[in-house]
Amino acid sequence: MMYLRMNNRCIVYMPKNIDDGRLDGILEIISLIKEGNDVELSFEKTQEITAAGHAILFIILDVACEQKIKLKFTNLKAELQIHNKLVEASQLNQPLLGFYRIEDLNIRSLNLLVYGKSASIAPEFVQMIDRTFKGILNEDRLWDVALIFNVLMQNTAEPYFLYGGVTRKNFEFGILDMGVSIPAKLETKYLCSNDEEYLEKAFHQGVGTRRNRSGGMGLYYLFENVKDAKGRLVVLSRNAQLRKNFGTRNYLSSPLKKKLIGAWCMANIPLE
Amino acid sequence: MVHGQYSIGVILKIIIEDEFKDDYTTRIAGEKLRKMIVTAQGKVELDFSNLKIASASFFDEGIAKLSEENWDSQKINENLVFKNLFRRDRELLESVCHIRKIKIDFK
Repeated sequence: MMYLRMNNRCIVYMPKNIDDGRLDGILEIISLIKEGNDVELSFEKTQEITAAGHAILFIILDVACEQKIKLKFTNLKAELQIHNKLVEASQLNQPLLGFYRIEDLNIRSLNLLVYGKSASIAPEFVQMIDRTFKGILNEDRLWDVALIFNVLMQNTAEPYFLYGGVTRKNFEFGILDMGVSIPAKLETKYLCSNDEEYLEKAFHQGVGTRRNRSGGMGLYYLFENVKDAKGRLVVLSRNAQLRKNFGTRNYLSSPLKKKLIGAWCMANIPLE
Repeated sequence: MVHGQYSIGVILKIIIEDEFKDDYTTRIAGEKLRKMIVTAQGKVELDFSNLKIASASFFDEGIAKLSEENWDSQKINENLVFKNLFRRDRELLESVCHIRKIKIDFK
């Protein structure tokens, strides 16, 4: 992702597809915003924004609001279906300051759902996923997705975004938050040598932060189901990212170039 | 008697969708269900129509933890009736109960 920087203003050229790929570039944008720069995102080359991409744009808006910077979107095309709150933010042309509620940031269309939630569970989203994608995913897969969302939501204390959507041949779903990172949660109970190890550990059954009873963080269910479906899993948190493609058996864990305070868990499974 | 519950003879019927409209997945909701079961006078019918629970927390806290209230498999099977429980939910319930040494008999 290319960007130009002039004093406290940055122009970022968004990629062709905004999805769960190229997340280092997205974290670079968040970092620019956190440094206090006004940011302009140019969608000139962008052809597709998936459900994950929309959730990421909501996160960018949320961080921009928190940092009270100016956020501008240029070269928007109708087919990208950018949410009206983002367009509104862009048109304000002034530092952003709490002009929406997290719950306003939601998209519901025939092929994608994105849902902002402030620190409580969202069983209604799980029901929406079930209704929207019935016929696209089989009953068992929908139930697996519900189970994953139900566990992950219960382990998220901060505002978060849930998404689910169909791309060309895949179903993608995930949860993004900007709260406490996975390594920060786990290091209260476990000792690992780096954040990549903490993320790997989070996938093990029963690994969690509770002292008085067992029970994991839900990432075990996510891991097992995505593996079973020969899908792709991306988890980013604090200083590390894990990418596991069970279809191609391509597994990567690496440090992030920019830190993510929070946790992004993103899954992509092939449609049957 | 509140919305989502009704009694016929000695059976208390709880329609999960109505009684647990906003939360049927957390341990808090499960604990509420367990208390309703324990305080009921007689048999309890749990109707899961229109819902997929997909939550081990809810089942563990609501049903399996009856073992901590001195309910064994026999008492659970004599006093609880599960209706319209989705196949995968039934498997999940069996598995969380198994951990607490409870065997559910789905009639």
